[in-house]
Amino acid sequence: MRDADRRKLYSRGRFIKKARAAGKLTDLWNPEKLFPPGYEYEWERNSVVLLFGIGVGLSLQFFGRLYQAAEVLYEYTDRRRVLREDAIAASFGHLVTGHWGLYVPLVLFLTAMMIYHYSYYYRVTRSIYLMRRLPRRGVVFKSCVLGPLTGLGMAAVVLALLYLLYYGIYVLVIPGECLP
Amino acid sequence: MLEIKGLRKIYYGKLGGVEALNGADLTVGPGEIIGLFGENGAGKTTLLKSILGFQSYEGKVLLDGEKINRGNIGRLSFATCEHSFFPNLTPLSHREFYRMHFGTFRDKRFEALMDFFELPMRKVLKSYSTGQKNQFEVILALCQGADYILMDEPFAGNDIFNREDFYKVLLGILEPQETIILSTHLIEEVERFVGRAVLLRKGRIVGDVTTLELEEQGRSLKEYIMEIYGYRPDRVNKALGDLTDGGY
Repeated sequence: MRDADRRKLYSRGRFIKKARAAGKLTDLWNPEKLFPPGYEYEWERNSVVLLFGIGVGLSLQFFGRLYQAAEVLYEYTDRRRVLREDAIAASFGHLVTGHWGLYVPLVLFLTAMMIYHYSYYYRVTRSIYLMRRLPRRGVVFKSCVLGPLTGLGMAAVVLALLYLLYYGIYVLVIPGECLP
Repeated sequence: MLEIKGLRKIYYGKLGGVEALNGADLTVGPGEIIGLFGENGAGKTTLLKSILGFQSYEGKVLLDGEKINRGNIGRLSFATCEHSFFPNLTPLSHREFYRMHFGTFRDKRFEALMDFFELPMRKVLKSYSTGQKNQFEVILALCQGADYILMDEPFAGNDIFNREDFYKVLLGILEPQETIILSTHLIEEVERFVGRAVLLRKGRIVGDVTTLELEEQGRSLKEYIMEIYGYRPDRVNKALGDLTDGGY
């Protein structure tokens, strides 16, 4: 790394630190604020990434289904691959049927985490006694659900982009006249 | 003024209900330092937790005529031997947290007390010793800027010198409107510190006396409590005698 790059990174880190201290960064910039105070969220984040990754990994079976769906559109005449007349491909929805099930463990995990976050206030100390004395309403509730909901939201956005990509590939692979 | 009227609390278990508080009445004025005494299970902790609204109860708890709600809960603080801080955070982070949530947080007092008890500001609390944790718990309760500071056995695990220091510091720093309700078993120790003693027994308030009244009567707090509780000091000797005579 060049010295200039290193300096740039260093000043960026300082900028974030300063902005955080001044309260100018949103909660998304500071994941700690999405969780109960002092909660070590890293293992939860890593678990979410792992579960999400497994879901995405399993969703790759889409390409196998797409290959099969494309194959049945053709017939072989004199060793030539010819598009069958009136052939209609399976719909995109049909190809991704059952995919949502791949993300059920992630949703269940994040739901369980909301309860786990609440139980955090009873572990080691009884910090719930402090949280329940806060004049601001809903602090406990927010600290329990914000992290998991953010995780779900981010997963939903990434999934939407991923399936948009899948759809693009589907449209590219399936001949226009065979699209349902 | 903190008013507790007909406070009743029943804990339901498999074997039925256990009455932890049975119509407790108590009025606490600003600036008082009250010692809350009673045997184990007398209802001291239940009383404090009910005041703070941590559990349901029958009866009334009023702060200057109003029920305890989000608007006035900040006027109450709580230090407990169970600890209510976040073990993974440092005192510095706690200061930030309290500043954010309690506009009345006493910054100068916090720094002075941390300094006095030589507690490290940048060390996570889980690595503190039990005594240090207790000190920090009390410091937070004192620095929140509350008018009514409730303490439930806050010094369990602290050595005598440390506790003495705390009593002295407390008397030195408290402002006229600050009220303390201290639940403890350390009767003789806090006698010089409290101005009023409230005795609980089986969920009822069975004694309420000022230390000035006791002084005038020439009685110590311990004697008063033993009298109210009907404690018989000769009971142990008699029992030992009986056991010895019986050839046990």
